[in-house]
Amino acid sequence: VSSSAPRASLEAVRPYGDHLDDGLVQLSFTLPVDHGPLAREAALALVREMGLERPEIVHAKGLTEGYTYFVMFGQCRHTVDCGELGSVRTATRSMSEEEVDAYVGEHVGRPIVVIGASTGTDTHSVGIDSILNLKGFDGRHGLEAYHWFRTHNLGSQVPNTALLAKAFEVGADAILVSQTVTQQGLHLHNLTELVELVEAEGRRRDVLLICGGPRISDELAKELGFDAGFSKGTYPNDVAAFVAQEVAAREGRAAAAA
Amino acid sequence: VRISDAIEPAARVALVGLAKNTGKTVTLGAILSELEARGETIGVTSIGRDGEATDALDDAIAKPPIRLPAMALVATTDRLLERSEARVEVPLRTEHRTPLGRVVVARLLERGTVEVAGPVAAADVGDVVDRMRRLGAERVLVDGSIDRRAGASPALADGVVLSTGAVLSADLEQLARQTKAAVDLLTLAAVEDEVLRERAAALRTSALLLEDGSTIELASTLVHDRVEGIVPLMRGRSDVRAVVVRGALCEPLLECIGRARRGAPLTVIADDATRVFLGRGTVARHRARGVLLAVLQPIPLLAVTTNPVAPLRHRFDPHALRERIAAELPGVPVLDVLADGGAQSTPGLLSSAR
Repeated sequence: VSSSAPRASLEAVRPYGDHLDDGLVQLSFTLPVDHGPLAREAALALVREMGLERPEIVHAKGLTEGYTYFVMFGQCRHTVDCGELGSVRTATRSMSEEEVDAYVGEHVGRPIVVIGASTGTDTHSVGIDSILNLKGFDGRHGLEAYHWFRTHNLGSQVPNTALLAKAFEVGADAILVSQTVTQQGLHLHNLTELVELVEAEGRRRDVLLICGGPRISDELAKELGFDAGFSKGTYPNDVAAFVAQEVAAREGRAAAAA
Repeated sequence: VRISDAIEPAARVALVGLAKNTGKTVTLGAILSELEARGETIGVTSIGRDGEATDALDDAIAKPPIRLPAMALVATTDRLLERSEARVEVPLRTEHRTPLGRVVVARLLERGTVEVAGPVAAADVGDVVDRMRRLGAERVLVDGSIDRRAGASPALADGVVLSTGAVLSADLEQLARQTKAAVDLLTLAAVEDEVLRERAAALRTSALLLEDGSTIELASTLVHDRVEGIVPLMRGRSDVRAVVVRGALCEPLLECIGRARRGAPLTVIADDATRVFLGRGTVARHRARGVLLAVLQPIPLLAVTTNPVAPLRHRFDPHALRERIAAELPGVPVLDVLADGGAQSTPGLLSSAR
């Protein structure tokens, strides 16, 4: 879509396929029905049932006996009014690596210590690695590369107590926890337990708690008792910008209170 | 017994759930409607967030709104308040920052629904509770979140309502055992020995309390991280009467104490039950080995509520569940706030989150 492409009204947004407002949606799914006319009819009926008009099968393939895979098109007639979506997302300013370093230099004036891990039984360390490690991801450095950040990455399957002991030892300003929470709430307890341990130690006001992972949102973070929640599409500089501004705000408040 | 009678002795009431979707919000709703009928001025805050339309993890689980009576005070955030259509005034804007905005205290000018969201840190929640009381709240409800117990801290609340429900297990016996274990842990008894309690309360650090009245201070890393270090300190001594643990008390430390103990049974003393992190059965197992657990500040359990529905999964017969849990907890009021007719449920609620 070039910059001269027609712009849709944000009051009535619907999917874009070939041209603006056509509402074209692509779906893929598998039905537990043998590949054949019956399966095709079922797929079309199902997509209509979903509220999509003019369903069309663009691909159908028998996977194994009794199962058929479909790729479908359909037209969505619903619209969304973006103005109605009262966003409550974290209101911190986004910054580049250079901007974060300049900001910390000016507003904090000391290195910010960040410790991270994937806790409990969770073996996934990709998330925490991409935020903390030098290499970062998608061409953006991790926090380790920042001039004003000191990072400690403890890796995966770290017990909450071990993470906390190390965090207090290094005087962490922020603890980052990566966790693969499922719809059923698997691993949720790992996250609440960390918060409860920090509370039990009477240290909750001393440290920022940040969680990240596929299903994590600011809403869930608030429920869990964290200061922020980051999900897919988060770059290291987003986390760095949040931590920098939050630490600066807290120290500003501390200075004002003193 | 009605839920409002059960909470009568406590001016600050914490609501704690054993898991997500055990029915905390429905319990809160029942308390609110009963207190409204009494004409009490109520304050509501949360250590998490409550009153949202759908579950933060599973969009298919609809949540009940929180209906607040006129003149009620509610902690929420500036950005959540913008989304609310309730008619309010805002007597207090705080500096407490949350992922959903800054915490404000709103006063409802007429009945309405507002998402509840207090400060992130429990100590700051305590601050908001105090300020609500000064703004005229006769009773403040501290809503819990998921399985968090921090709101039950004696610094924040005078008593606790615990919510348990079908979501814990599809097996009724298992559910009853888990609930009993959680209640045992939350209601750890106060240190019986007056002298021992006074000695422990006077300490600022973790320590061994000895028979002759002297103490051996323990470094904080010793009770939290390098717990094996306590074994040589206790080895060969049969005069340790108690181990005082400041902050979090976790299983590995208890194991080491059990291993090193000689002589008469000793007591491990924590500040309160929210500082104790132990698995099921641990308390009984250690008691059998001569290591007793006690707290300086016990938490009064006001009532237990039961929710027979596990959203999108299974359900129990409401009365059978309540009876089974009540049998497990003699002396504790056990209520199903919907089945017992305590609250007027919203249509559709039973089929969704409740």
